[in-house]
Amino acid sequence: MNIFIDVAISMAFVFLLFSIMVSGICEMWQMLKRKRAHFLREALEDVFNCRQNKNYAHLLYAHPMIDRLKERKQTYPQYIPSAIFADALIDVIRNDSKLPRFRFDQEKKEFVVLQDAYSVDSTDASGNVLAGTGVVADFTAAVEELKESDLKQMLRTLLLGVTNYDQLKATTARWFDDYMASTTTWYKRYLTRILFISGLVVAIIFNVDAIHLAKSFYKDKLLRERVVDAAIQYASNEANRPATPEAVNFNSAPEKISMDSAVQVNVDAVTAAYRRAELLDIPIGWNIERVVGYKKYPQFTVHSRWLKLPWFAWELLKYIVLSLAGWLITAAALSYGADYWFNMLSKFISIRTAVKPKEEKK
Amino acid sequence: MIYYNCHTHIFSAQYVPNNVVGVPIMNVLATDPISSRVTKFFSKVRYRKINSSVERVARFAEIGLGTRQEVIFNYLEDYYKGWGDVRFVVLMMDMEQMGAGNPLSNYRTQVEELVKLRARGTYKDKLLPFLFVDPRKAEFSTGEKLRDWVKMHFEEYGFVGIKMYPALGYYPFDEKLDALYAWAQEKFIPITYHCIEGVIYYRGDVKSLRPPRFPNSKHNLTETKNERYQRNFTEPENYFDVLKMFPELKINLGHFAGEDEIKKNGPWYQTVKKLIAEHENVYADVSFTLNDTGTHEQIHRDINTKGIGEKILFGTDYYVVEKNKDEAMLRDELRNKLNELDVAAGAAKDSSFNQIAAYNPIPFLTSAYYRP
Repeated sequence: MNIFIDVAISMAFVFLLFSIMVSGICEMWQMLKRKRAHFLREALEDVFNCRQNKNYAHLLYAHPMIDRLKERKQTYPQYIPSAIFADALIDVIRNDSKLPRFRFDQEKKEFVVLQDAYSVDSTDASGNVLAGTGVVADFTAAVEELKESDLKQMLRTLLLGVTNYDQLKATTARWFDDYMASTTTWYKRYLTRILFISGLVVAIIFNVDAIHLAKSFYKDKLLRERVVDAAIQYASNEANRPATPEAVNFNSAPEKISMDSAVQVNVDAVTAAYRRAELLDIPIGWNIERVVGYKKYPQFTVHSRWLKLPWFAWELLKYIVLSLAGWLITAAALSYGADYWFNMLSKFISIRTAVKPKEEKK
Repeated sequence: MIYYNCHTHIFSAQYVPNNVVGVPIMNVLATDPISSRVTKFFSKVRYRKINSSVERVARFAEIGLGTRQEVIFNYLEDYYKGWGDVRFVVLMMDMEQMGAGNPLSNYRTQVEELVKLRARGTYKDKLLPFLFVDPRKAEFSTGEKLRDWVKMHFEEYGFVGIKMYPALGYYPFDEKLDALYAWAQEKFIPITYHCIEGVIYYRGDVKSLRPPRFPNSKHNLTETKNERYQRNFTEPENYFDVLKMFPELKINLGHFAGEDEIKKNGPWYQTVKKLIAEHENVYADVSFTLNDTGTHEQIHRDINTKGIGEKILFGTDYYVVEKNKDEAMLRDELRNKLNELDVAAGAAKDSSFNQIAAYNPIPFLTSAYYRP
C-alpha cells in the first residue's frame, strides 16, 4: 500500500514543480498579450456588435467613461465597473437617435453644431417632477428606432418595469454583473486550455513523461525515497504554498503588478522549480538511452545496418507513442495548476502519515 | 492662408475586412503587445534598409489600427503643427461589398463615430468629411433611395463631398448613381474617385459581376484575375461616359492615375489630363503618387500648364501612404521640390504649392452645402 502512496506523492511533487513553471509561463503570457482586456472586449463585441444596427461595443469603448479606464492609447481597459458600464451604455443608446447635426453658416463660413434636446422629466398628477424619467423616455425611443435584432430585444427586456434612470441603471448593472460572471467562467475555461497547451509544451521540452515517471518511481526505491523526503520537506513549509491565482473579475481592477516585477517573480519561480527537479535527479529530460536502450547511438556496422535499422525504427516508434501518451497525461495534470497539486501533495502526505503507523504496528 | 489636404483617411482597421491583404498582419502588429514591441524594437535597429521599412510598417500599424478615428486624426494634426489653419478632407471607406468578408464594425458605426467626433471642439471646420457611396448596398434598392440617403447626410450631418472607390467592384456609370449625379451636379458637390491600380480591390467572383453599362475598348471583361480585373472599374475612360451624361459634374480623380503612369506618361495619366483639359469641373489630386519623388518634376510642369494646373489638388493619402513615407516627409519633399523649380523658373517661392494646397481646393470644395 505504502509504495503506491509514495509513487503518488512523488508524482504529485513533480506535477507541482512543473505546474509552478507552467503557471508562471501562462501568467507572463497573459500579461504580455493583455489577454484579459482582449477577452473582455470580445465578450462585449459578442453582444453589442449588432450588424443590423451598429457596433455599439466600439461606440461604448469610445465613450469617455470607458475610454479613460485604459492604461495606454492602443489598449483596451482590463475591467469595467458595472456602474460605469451602465452609465456609458445608457448614454450611447439614448444618443443613438440624437446624433449631433451640422448646419453651414454661409456668412461666417463655419459649421454650427446643433444638438437635439433631451426629453424633460415627466410630472405626476400633483405636479411633482419624476426624476430620471426623461432619460428613460429617450432610451426607450432610441431602442424603438433600432432594427429588429437580438440586441434590440435585450435592450427592450432591460426596460421592462423600468420608469426612471436609477432603475434603468440598476437593471443594466445587474445584467452586466451576470454577464461578467459568465464571461469569467469562459475565461477560466480559456485559461485551462492555455495551461494544457503550455503544459504539453513544457512536458515535451523537458520530456516530463508521466508514464515513464510512474514506472521509475515504482521500480526505483532509492529515487522514490529521495523524492518523497524532498516532497515532505517542501510541503511542510507553508511558505512554499503557491499563491492562489487571483480571482478573475471583469468588473473590478486587477491587482496592480508591474510587468517587470511579474516577470522577475515568475522567472525566479520557474528557475527554482527546474533546479529542484534537476537536483533530485528525477528521470526527466532527453537522453538517448531512454529512446533505444543504449547510452550512445547504436554503432551500426556495414553488415549489421539492415538488420538493426528496423529494430531501431520500431523502438523509436514505440517510444514516441508511449511518450505522447505520457506527455498528454502530464499536460492534463499540469493544467490543474500549482495550487491544486500542492493541496493534493499535502493530502497524500497526510494519508501516508496515517497509514505508516498502522503498518509499523503490524 | 488656409491649406487643404484634399485626400486623407482616418478609418481604423476595424472597418476593413480581415481578408484584405496585410490587415491580419497589421492587426497583430498593432494590437498584440508582444508583436508590437518586437516591431518597435526592430524599427529602432538602424541597420541598412531594415530600419526604415520596419519602422514605416510599425508606424502604419500603430496609426491605422488606433482604436478610434480621433486618435488617427490627432496623429495627422500633429504633422501640421505650426502650419496655421490646415483643413483635411477625410474620405470615408465602406468595404462591406468588396467580397472580402465583413469588417468588425459596419459602415453605420464609422459614420456615427465620425459625426460624433466632428461635433467636438475645433474638429467641425478642420475635418471635412466625404461620404462613401457604394451603389450595391442592399438598402439602395433604387437610385433615388441612394440619393436621398446621401442628401440626408449632407443636410443633417454636414458632409461636404462624396467618395467612391470603383475598384471595390462597381463602375462609376452604374445606373443607380444617376439620380445622385443629377443632384450632385445641381448642388456643385465634389466627388472624389479612387483612380490608381492598387492593393484594395474586389475580392469576390469576377464572373458573377454584371457587364458594364457602357463598355469601352479599354475594358478586358474576359480577365479572370481580380487583381487585373480592377482595371475595368478604375479605367479613367469610364469618366467620359459619366461626363457625357453629367457634363458639369465636379469630380476629382484621386492619385492622378498613379506614380508609374506619371513617370512613363502612360495612357491612364494621359486620359486623366485629357479629362481635366476638356471638362471644366474635373480635378486630380497627387495623393500617394507624391511619395515617389520621380513624379515631382512632372507634377510641377502640370501645375504650370494652363487648363490643367488650376485643377490639381494637394492630398497625401494619409495614413495609407505611411507605409511608404511619413506625412511630413512626403509633404515637405514635394513642397521643397516645387519651390526649387519655381525659383528656377523665376516664379515666387511656394507659388506652385500654394496653388494646389490653398487656391485650387476652394472651387473644388465649394458647393451648396459648404464654402471654404
